[in-house]
Parts: sequence; C-alpha cells; structure tokens
Amino acid sequence: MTKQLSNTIRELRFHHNEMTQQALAEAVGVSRQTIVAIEKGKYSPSLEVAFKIAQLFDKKLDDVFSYQ
Amino acid sequence: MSYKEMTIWGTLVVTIGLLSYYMLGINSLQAAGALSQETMVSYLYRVAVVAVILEIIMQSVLAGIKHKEADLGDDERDKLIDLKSTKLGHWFCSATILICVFLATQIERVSGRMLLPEVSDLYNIMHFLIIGFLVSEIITIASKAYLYRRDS
Repeated sequence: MTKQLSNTIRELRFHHNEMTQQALAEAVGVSRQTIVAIEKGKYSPSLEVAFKIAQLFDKKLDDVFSYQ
Repeated sequence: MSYKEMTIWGTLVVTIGLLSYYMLGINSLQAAGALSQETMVSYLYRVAVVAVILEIIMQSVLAGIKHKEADLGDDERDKLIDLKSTKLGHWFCSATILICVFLATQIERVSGRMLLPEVSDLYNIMHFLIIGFLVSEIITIASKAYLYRRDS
C-alpha cells in the first residue's frame, strides 16, 4: 500500500480563530492556491514551509503532517 | 481563478492564436502565389510584432484586474510547476531541432520536396523551426494550465 502525506492544517486553522487560507499563505510566504493544494494533500510542501506552518500554530511537525 | 492561472490561460490563447495566424498567413500567401522569401520574412516580422503587442495588452489587462496578486512573486509550487512544464516543452523543442539538423544533413535528398517549394531549403527549415518552437511553447503552457488545475 502506498503511503500518503496528510495534514491537519484545516483543523488547526479552525482552532486559530478560523484563520483564513489567505492569512496563512501570507504568514508562511506562499500563495493561497499553494495552501489549498497542501490542505487537499495534492502538493507536498518543502521542509521549510512545513516547519513554518508548524511553528505558526505552535505545534511539532509530526502534529501537523503525517506520512501513513 | 488566480492571477497566475489567468496569465497562463491568456498566454495559451495568445500562443495558439499566433501559431494559427502564422500558419494561415503563410498558407494564404502560398495559395495566392505570393509566397517568396521577402514576403515570408516580412510576414514573420508582422507575427513577431503582433506577439509582442498581444502579450503586453494581456499582461496589462490582467495586472489591472488583479493588481494585488500581480505584485507577488513565484512560490515553491509555482517554481516546481514551471520546472515540470518547461522540461516537457524543452523535450519537444529539442526533438524539433534534432529533426532540423537531420534535414540539414539530408538537404540534397529532400531539396524541393519540403512544405514550401516556393522558398529555399533554408527558409523551409526556418518555417519548421518556428512551428516547432510555437508548438513547444503551447505544450509548456498547456501543461502548466493542467498542473495548476489538477492541484487546485
């Protein structure tokens, strides 16, 4: 079975005052479309962006992204 | 639709339009019996001028509509999509060049039997290169449009 990268970004955004995709995109320095693609699991971000997202939500990388 | 995607679709339409404009123009010159090296070169200049004007108009209109997004640079996903698409277009462009090199080496065999018998073999190869270049551009842009749509 092939493993896939999944994430909890949508949930984390919801718990952070319903942060918009645009606000998250601006905070980590990518476009809103990239955030949409990451959330849907259609694009795997670079380590740098992944760490930026995790740090923004004050979480560990494992809490945001999982590979299973 | 994002500014980037709109630009890609706009460029795709412009490039397909240019290829059609070039092909139809050369065909109509040929049909009218007016095709020569001089008319071909002047028509090529006209196509180049039209290409530049259309691109400027399209970019200005889109930047006017989505001026906020127009100032943003490429992020890592944009660069990756650009890389994948360019690779595909580059493959086709390389194939065209290799075919032209092969034609050049076989020039004595193919002379007078090419697409445009009214002009010299050199101009026929140039005609083939122009079509190959425009098709490779279309492949590049179309694959970009596809990759943006697929991931959105």
